[in-house]
This record gives sequence, C-alpha cells and structure tokens, in this order.
Amino acid sequence: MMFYKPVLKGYAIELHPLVEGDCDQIFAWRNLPEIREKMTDSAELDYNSHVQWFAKMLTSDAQLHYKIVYKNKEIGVVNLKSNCTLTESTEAEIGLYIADSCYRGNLIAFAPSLLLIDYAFEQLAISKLKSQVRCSNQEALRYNQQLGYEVLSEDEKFAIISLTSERYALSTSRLKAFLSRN
Amino acid sequence: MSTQQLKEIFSSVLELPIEDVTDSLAYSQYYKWDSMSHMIIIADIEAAFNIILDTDDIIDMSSFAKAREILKKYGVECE
Repeated sequence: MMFYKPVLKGYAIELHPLVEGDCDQIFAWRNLPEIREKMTDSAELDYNSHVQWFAKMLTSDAQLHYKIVYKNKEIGVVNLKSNCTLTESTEAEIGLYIADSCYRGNLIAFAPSLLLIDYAFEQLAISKLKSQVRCSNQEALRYNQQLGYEVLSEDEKFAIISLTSERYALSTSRLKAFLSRN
Repeated sequence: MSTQQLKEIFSSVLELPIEDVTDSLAYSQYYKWDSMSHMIIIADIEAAFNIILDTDDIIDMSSFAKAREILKKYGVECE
C-alpha cells in the first residue's frame, strides 16, 4: 500500500506532493539547461521516458517528490529518495532544484530543504541523509555545508556528502528562526 | 547617516571596502554573501536600527538596493 504523502508547510513555503497533472511542468523544468547541467545525469530528457518515470514515481513508496510553493507561486522541486520503502528506511537522499531563476541564490532556497529534512528526521525513521554532488557545483556544496552536510569522499567528478540529525540541528537553528517569524 | 551605517554593516560582514558597497551588491552575485553572512547582516541591521524584520523582508533583502528599500518600510530612511 502506498504511504500517505502529506502537504508540508513551514519556513514561509509549502511543499505539495507532485500529482499526475504536473508531469509536463516537471519535464520542462528538468530540461532547462541550467538545471540539467547540475544533475548527476545531465543528458536532455526524452519525453516518453519522462512520462514513464513520472507514472512510476507517483506510485513509488521509496520516493517523495514535492513542488515548492512560495507566495502561491510554484518555484521548483525537492525530493526524498531511498533504496527501499521510505517509511522503513534509515538512510535517504534529498534532491532539490529551484526552477524559477528569481529565487536562485536567495535565502528562500533553504526553506524546502529545511522542511523536508525536518520531515525525514522527525516523522520518518531516517537518521542519515547522503547525496552525490558534482565537484564543479561549488554553490551546491556550500549550500549543503550550511545545512550541516560534511564531505565523506570525493573523486574528480563527484563529492559524496552526508548529514546526521545532530549536525543538522547544530547548523540550522539560526536559519530556521529567521525563516519562521511572523 | 542611516545609509552610512547600513554600508558599514555590509562592509564589515562581507569584508568589502566600503566604496564597494553599492546598490548593485547582491546575494547571488558576491560569493561572501551566503546564508550565514545574510543572517549576520540581518541581525546587525536589527540591532543598529532597533527593528525586527518580517520573514518575507529577510527573504526579499537580496541586494543592497533592496535593503535600503525595505528599511524605508520600518521608518529607516537610507537615501
């Protein structure tokens, strides 16, 4: 049985689970050259493959994909993935892109990660997050380090980074306070 | 006076000569202006002008020009 995917709210944004009608929007965003070049697989997506992947993703209990909504505007995507059912997993990976260029390089870009990481550490049984980031993507490495991620290893192309709930709590208390006013 | 104070805050936090603190200075354009320095700038502005900024204004303050504009809402004139 597929697990319940809640709408998440906080830090001035909302995260809405992707639904069938989002397929074309996500295809367009994911194929933007500036988004593709930061991905592990930077090849242009084929539409039919995307539609197949999207349908499978919607029913998967190993991944959660959300649209980021700020001031009623959809600005990007954040996701949480694991090798097994998310409700049973202790380790997962977070992915994020801000498709709307107005909100890249802005403090709001931290909000979706904070919201989803809170959910992963507090509502699921996840105790560690791991990601692979292109070494050339220094912006993403700095971003993740500000959330508390540490680099575990790196080769010529990719760095493997990891985050525990303890490091996350230590690194983000001030950021959370600034994004939780009003 | 307020403009000078504001420039001094940005100059001090971002370790920039004060003459380089201009309206075009922006969060995404200058590598030392990251989330950490942004939060220090906000805290220093709040202490200097005795105000508390809303979350939306903290998010919107993405350039020096925008900072001047936002501070007007709080009665701080930075011409």
